[in-house]
Amino acid sequence: MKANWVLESELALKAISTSLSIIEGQTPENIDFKNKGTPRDIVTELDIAVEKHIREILSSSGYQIIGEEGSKDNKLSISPDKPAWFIDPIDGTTNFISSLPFYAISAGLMLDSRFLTGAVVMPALKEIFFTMGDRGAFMNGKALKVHPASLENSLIAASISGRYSNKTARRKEYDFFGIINDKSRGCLRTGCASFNICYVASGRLQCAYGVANKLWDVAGAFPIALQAGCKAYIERVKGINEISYVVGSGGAVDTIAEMLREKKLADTKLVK
Amino acid sequence: MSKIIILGAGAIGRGFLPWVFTPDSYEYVFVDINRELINSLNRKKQYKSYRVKSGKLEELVVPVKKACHLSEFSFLEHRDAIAVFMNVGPRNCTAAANALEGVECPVILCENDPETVTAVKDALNYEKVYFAIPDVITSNAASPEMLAKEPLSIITEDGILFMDERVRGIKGNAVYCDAAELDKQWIAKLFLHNTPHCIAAYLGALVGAKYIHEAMQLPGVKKIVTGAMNEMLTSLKLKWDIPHLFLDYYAEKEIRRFSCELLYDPISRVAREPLRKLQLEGRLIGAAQICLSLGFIPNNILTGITTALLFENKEDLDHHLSFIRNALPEDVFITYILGLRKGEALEIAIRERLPKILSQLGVLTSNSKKAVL
Repeated sequence: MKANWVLESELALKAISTSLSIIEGQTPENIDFKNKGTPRDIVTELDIAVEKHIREILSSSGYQIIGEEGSKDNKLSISPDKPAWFIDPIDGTTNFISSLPFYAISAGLMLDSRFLTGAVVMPALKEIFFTMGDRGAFMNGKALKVHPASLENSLIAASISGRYSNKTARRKEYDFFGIINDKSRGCLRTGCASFNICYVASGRLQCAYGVANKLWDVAGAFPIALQAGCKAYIERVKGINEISYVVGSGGAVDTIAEMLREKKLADTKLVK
Repeated sequence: MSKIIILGAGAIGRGFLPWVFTPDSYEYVFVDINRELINSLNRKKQYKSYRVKSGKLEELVVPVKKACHLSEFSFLEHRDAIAVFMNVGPRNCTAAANALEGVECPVILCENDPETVTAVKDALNYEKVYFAIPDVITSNAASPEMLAKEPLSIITEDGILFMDERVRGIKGNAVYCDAAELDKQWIAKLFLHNTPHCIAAYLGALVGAKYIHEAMQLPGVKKIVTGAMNEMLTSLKLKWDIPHLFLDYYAEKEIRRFSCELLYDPISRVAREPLRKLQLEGRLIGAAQICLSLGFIPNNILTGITTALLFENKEDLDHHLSFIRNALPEDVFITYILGLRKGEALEIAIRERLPKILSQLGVLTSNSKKAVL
């Protein structure tokens, strides 16, 4: 296996940055969208166009591509010994159609449960995050490096669906959110997991956690956080397109990972 | 003898400061992250700094009290120091400040960015942090012959250190001045020194030169550097209430400096960290914005911006510049990396003029490379 992934990083960055021209100048009033099952699960024509564009560019790598709009169920059929791209054409579509700036275009390369390289662009915020192989993480060209923080000194963001059919699990998620909110400087739900993780990587949030997120929600952002020096715990079940995680810059991440385990919300393990 | 701590034993720290705070009155503790340099300084206990004065080199033997690696330095072991001079590069100030926990004496920043004062004050939660302007070019090297004889040799000009008058108690050959004078000196340094100096370096890198004076010997390079200087001179005269005679003197002095054959000022030093030099308020983009706000297009500075974008050095902190340039479409690069808004004057000027500038640089490079090689 090769040591660095610079060419793949360049491809990811090229794919997401050239897709900006598709959404530039588009406003919610001009966009057709439909529900994918629930009122919160929305797809626009732009999601589909952006995913098609990114797929075209990434296809030159020869790796399998899994994208939000091209995948129908939760099962994941990928080879554990071959890298695969995970793309989210618009992470935070609901924010996008509500004119909230917390949405992102994201692409990341994974090998089994390893995050190899990723790129995320937030068009409304004019911020672009990326890794350069294994040689660092950057925001708008500036190198990222996080500094440690304790839980009580951390502003945290959560990505939880809050729509478990199982009422006990649903209550557990919200109870946990409340506990974290009380023990820290606050816990946000932005509706965009890649935003949360990239903002941890750039030191504006200190920690982010997610329960049962889709891999394409985080695959672009996770390598950025890791290369910025974040510590991370994840739980993945093989064959399922889901991940639970905690990622952050210090003591807060250990505390939340421990609490997730205690509350039986996620059995996360340290990413090495 | 009074002790001073010199954080950053590079061009300014090792080369210039001992001429301002001389060895007959001061002893020096050097702190750096270059382990090899630290070991050499401790082993040899002294080095030579050369000063260019009236076209000749003067020699100063600098005794070394101690040299420490940053990670092993603690101010608490040097409480008798009367001042700390920080010359580590603007991006490294906050990290370097961590080594100064418990500091009780003035901390003087000889950095090329006044905002570092606030950053260090915040990092240390300490108020006695001051800005100083070394009006000097100091090479972090020397001629190949000198280095062969003595690897620690370093060459500086006969420059001036402008210091905040609140630290005039630290006696030396510095000029102590009030806030207005410091501002004037800073504006002149930023735009009449930093802007054309880095343009000379980026052009020099493009044509394969090693030292600034080599690049300035090429007529094509000198024409662009002088052109950029004149653009800034015009801007400063229009924008600020600074005596024109001072500005003219400053500009002439700088062009002479860049051409000084005794300095051996390495292009890799002056051109380092191009993304920092391309920041919005800085010496390239900021300079071009001033010219545009005054109603003229600074063609030479635009050429300088282009050469900065083309700079490649695998050892540089901003080695990822070429990676970004290859991956991003031009408009995304200008908006996200340079931070310009779509449709603003500089964004339009760069986008429209880029092809012509690139072709001019192509001609310059092919003509000049032959001359350098």
